[in-house]
Amino acid sequence: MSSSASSEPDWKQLEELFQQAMDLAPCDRGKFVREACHGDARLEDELISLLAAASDDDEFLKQTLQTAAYSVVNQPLDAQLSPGSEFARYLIVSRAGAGGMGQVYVAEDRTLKRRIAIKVLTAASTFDPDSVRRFQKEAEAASTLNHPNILTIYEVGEWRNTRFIASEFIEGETIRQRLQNGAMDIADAIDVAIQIASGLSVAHRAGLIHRDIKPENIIIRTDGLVKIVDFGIARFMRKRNDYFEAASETSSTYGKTALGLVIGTTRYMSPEQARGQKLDARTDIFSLGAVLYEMICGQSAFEGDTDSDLIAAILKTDPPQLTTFLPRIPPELVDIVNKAMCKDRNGRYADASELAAAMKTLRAEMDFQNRLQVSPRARLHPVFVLIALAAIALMCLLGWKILHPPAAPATRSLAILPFRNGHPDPATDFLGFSLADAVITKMGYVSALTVRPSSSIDRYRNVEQVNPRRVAADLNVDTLLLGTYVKEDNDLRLNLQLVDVAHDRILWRDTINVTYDKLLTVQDRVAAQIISGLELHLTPAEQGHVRFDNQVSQKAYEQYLRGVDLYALNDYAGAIATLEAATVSDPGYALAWAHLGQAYETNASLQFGGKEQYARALTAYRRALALNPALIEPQIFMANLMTDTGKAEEAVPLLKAALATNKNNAEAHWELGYALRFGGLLKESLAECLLARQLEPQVKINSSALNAYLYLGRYTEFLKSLPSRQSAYILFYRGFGEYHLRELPEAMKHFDEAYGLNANLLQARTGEAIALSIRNQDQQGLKLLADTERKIRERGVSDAEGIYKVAEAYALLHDNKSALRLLKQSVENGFFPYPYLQSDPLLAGVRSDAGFKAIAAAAKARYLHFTASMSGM
Amino acid sequence: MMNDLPMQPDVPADREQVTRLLHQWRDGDKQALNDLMPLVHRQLHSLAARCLSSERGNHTMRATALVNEAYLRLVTSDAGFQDRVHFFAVAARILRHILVDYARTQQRQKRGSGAEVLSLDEALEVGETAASELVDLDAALSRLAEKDPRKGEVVELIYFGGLTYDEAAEALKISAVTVHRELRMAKAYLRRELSGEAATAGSV
Repeated sequence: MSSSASSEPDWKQLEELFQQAMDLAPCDRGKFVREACHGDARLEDELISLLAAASDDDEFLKQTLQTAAYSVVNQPLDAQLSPGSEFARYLIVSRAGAGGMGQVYVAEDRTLKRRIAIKVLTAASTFDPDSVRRFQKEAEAASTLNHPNILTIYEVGEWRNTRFIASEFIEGETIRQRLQNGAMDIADAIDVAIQIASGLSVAHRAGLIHRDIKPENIIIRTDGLVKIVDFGIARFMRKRNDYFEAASETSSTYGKTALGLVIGTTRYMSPEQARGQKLDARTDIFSLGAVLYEMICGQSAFEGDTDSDLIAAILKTDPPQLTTFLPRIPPELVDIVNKAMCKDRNGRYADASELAAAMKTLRAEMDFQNRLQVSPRARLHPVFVLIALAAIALMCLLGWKILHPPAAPATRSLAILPFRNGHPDPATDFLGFSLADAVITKMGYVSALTVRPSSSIDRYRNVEQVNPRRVAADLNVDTLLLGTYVKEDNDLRLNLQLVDVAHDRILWRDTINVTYDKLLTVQDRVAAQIISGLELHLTPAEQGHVRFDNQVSQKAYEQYLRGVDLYALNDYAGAIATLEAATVSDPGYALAWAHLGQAYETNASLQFGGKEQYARALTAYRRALALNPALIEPQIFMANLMTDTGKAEEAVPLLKAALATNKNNAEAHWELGYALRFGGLLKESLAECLLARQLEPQVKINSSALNAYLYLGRYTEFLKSLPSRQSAYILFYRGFGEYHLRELPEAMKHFDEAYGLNANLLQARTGEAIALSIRNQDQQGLKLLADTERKIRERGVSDAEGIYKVAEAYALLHDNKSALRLLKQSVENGFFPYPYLQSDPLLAGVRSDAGFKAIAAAAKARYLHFTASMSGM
Repeated sequence: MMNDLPMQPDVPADREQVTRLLHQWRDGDKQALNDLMPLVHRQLHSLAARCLSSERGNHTMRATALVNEAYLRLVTSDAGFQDRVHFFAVAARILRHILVDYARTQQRQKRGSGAEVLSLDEALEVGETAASELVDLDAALSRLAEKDPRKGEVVELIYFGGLTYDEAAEALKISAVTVHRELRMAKAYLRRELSGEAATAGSV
């Protein structure tokens, strides 16, 4: 085309000559050019070509623009994106459907290598700039919500003048789709509603109202997790509907589709919404009630042939009682639905968490009744299920409450929240958490009471105002201890109240005044108050535990409290220094030694390697137990260290001892399950872990998966047991479970996501290698594993179960030699689940190998020895 | 989906805002232009998306009609001649961007989807050609503006904005004769560039 700048004639000169030539008659131009250019060939060429192109006719320009404009308007933004096309930093994979606001696509995030859903708004949706701004604002607010039951928004953006929302990609069905097969099972319906309510409660607390809760806006993921979608869009939709309604009076183009849209949304509207009043969070509670109603009986709560009929029904008519469809429905459930759908919002649940709590209580009662009536085996058989249902129905007829008297609670559950510092003084802040922790430690010896561990209450640090009901529901406890302290000079004053949340009453209120040098007595006094306040009966041994630490020096105790506080704040180096100081101040302080050992161990395992710190941890635990053999903490901490370092056999007696002291200690049950898993006692392991989760739903939730399910081939249950959070660790396990179920696309997706989140995590690397094997990219997979193996060596990683998984990945990549090398290392490092070695489907390719037999024999010998030692206990 | 939507009323607040911004811009406020661009952009864009949905197959649709329509919707009736000219100057530039952006997307999608997509519809084929012609025109216009910014502006105003020579002269504060002269060279340049017959050094 045009020549380079250096060889181009001067533009000014060119223009001057061009204009002069143009003013001449066409026949005179040739002569003019030859003379004017003085033999400058380049200038002459340029000028001639321009003059040749000159014309009064501008059709070529008009034509180009006209056709282009035509193609723009004929293929507007609503044009579908085809698979493989680019959209912002996403690659369109397929079209998922069309919503009220635009097209929804499945796409891949090319940067983060994850699958996402992308909603592209239609041009029609972006007519009104005000609406768009509002939409943007709310969608952005919604994107800050972080809750497993709310669809995670990754990005709200605009690309090539098109607005879009990128969100997490969920595979599942909407409640609407689920309801096409008729009403849902009551328990399922409640479970779904509980999840919706907890999602809503978080949004409401953040000041966001959904405004359009309906069966179409709730997705039930394949594993049962519920997601609320379209947060923040509702208000925008409503605005659009206003347009529809306004248009109906003035425009004849008002069509059926628009009418349908209004009705679809109206069906779950609250009365105040139908009236156009100002809304608060309780509108969502009404809508959720209407959705729950429909899930239970399969019929929508309000019917009407036209929009106005429907609105009239919502305002005036009570829906048919659920008992007309299901005569044997628990009366509590009827009450819950009725209260949620109360026409007057003041009669509804005040907030979503209150509704969630009511449903959870009901659900627990239903489970309890189920257990009473049906043995776990029988529950699988349909005939028995029918019998059980009949039994439940009978109980309902007799009256639910009579069979389940509130006067006989099983074990009281207590959460002690971090005490609040009444003086804003950083120097004394450490007391808030650590004093609560000290009381928790004491109460952990009382078997008549289940106390939530410090790790569960840690998140209530710095919470200014607590809502007791909400906290109790979140922690699943019936009793709360709340306290505020003020330290002035040498005086410490602690105000306490013990709240029975279930019955909404304060059991006792007390002020403890001590001089600071008597700090140590505070925990004992609080513990004593709790015991008398709750009228607990202690065994003599328990009484001994509760009154113990009185020998410790004041200085050591304060250092201990500071160390515990730092540990909870993840400052492990600080915790180690302070707890070491405590053991120096008072070498006889057993609890300080126990926590020091834990700080060493955590520091070592989080920083890869540091074998010498494992050794220090072990020494500290031994010291603690030598000082006080009955202490639970060092027993549990040490057991974990034993299993991790390949001595599951030594973990078991420690845990049995801890459980003999308190049979309700969830962490001890979990650690026992962990050790049993390493030793191949899979069913026993599963039972312990499930019991632990039953006692304390959050126990080890972030750091350990219920692998016994995997090894027993119960993959669906395994997937269900995983928490919903999106850590690399959990994502790997999700992919791993799906891989076993042969759900390969999902498995690949989760492996990729895990690896994307943390490429240094052993499990994430293993998962990515498996993903590469699915893609037939064996060489890359092997390369990744070789690099992983090198890191394992360099950093001295001793996680035998993790190494076993690397062996499995090698086997899947057809490198049997490496698979066996890692397998051997894993067994030698203390992971010897012999029955699983024989049944592991991933090792099918190596089991016939001669090398495998020797490894299996070694595992078998240790497994048999382990089993024998167990039966002797 | 779009066809089911009734036409929606324009927001009067926007109109006043646009007119006010035009005044401010005319009075030398550079920021006003920045504020004005997104408003005009949005209007043009939705117009482009909406116009032919109600008159499908209307081949006489012109780009400049979009700008006119946007003007009627965005500027209050009491705005003066100068405001109109300034508005069109802004709109022309924006429209050029919208059209070219869109054409590029089309091209990319065509490439991205590979050979599997067969053109079943003549309209799509037309769109394809129009897209590449428009992209070429845009590139040639940019090259022209680099050498001679005013020529680039004149072309934008008249062919993208639909201004008359007098209006373009007013917008650029030059005489109508100058507009005419600028345009005749600009057109020659563009036509030559687009016909692929540019002179190369040494050739006769």
